[in-house]
Amino acid sequence: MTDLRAPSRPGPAPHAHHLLLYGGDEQFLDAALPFARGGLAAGEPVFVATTRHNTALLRRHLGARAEHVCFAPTHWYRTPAQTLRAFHDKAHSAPGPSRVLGETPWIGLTGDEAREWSRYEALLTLALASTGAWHLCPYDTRVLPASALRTAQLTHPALTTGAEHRANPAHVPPERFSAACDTVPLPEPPEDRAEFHFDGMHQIADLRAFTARLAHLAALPAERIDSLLICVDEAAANAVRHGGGAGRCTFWTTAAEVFCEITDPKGSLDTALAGYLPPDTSHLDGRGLWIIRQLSDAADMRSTEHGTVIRMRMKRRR
Amino acid sequence: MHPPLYADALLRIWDTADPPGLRLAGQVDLTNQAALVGHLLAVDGAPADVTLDLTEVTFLNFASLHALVAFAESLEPGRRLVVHTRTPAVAQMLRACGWDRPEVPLTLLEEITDD
Repeated sequence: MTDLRAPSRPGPAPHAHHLLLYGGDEQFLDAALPFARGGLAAGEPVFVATTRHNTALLRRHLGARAEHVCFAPTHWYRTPAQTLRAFHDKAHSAPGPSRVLGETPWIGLTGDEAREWSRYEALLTLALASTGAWHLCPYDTRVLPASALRTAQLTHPALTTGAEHRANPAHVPPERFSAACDTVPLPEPPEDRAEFHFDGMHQIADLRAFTARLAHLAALPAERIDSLLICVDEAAANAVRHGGGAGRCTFWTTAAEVFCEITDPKGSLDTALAGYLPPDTSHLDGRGLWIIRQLSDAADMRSTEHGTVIRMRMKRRR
Repeated sequence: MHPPLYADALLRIWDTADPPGLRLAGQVDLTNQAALVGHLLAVDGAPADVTLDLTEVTFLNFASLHALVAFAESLEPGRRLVVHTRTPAVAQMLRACGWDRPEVPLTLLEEITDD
């Protein structure tokens, strides 16, 4: 019996997340064209989110077939968490196998941001598992920092050169990679900060009022304040329900961001994958942490012998 | 206006007859989400949809939204939970969890104001 929906995966191992290192237009096209054409020939949805230059190149070389390719809208890459969800949802909305050429915008990221995007690359492999989606991730060796190129070799389970695909011996299991990202200590909150202590669920409304007032003073737009309140409420509810029942909120701002951190001195959290994977792909009851990652601009979650810290960040301008 | 079915420092809940459902004012969080679910379960009016008016709700916690989705999925086939809101936050949470998919029997009607 033949399965008509058998995925058109390369090779025996179903690695769905490939790295393409390219140093020029020719190397890019040598891999991207067969990837896109192969998908179109198999009747698979093909989605492309890459630089303006590479988009134009692909359009030109695909000719009339470019019409069947879906090119990403501008600002496709917002936060790592939202991008992971968008790719996950896209894979699930396709009735069968699908292909994505996705080039993460690395240029101009801070160290923190780059670390989170690398973590996203690692975890994308887990989010895509068994969806039938095949991602090819181009990295431009001419312009990217050496650290980004090195890390990319750890986060992709397979490598692509031209039309050839092979397993990547340097690949690190995503859980391990994510845990390693959390060994970088979080910067201490500044002296100039506000604190709110709570010791039960009846104080969470006051905590929300405290947060709303400070976020408003920091000129965060109303819609962003609403999102922040949902995150703060969820983090505090976690401390009250599952943790020690009491905790504190620390609030501070920088020129660029609003920080709001919930500390649960008696909490413990398995943080390597906490809230990173869509609820339907993880076995953990991580929905609350998932929503925090989706609605904030960034969230660090750490668990030590001193308890659990959930540090949420909102950009003051976007 | 008839007295609320439920009232605490944060939240008031009224029942509505036409359409059958509930109207809320205030904030829903960990302290009163069970009251919301309890009163929702008591709404009858089958086979009509259940309507939940949240236009005067200034905060709805994530756990309550999760409970609303579970409630909608427990309705008899063909019935839906119809939710009215004024803030984009509910839609944002639904989208983030994939609960905006057509197979989830929850309809969100947003009345967004600019202020």
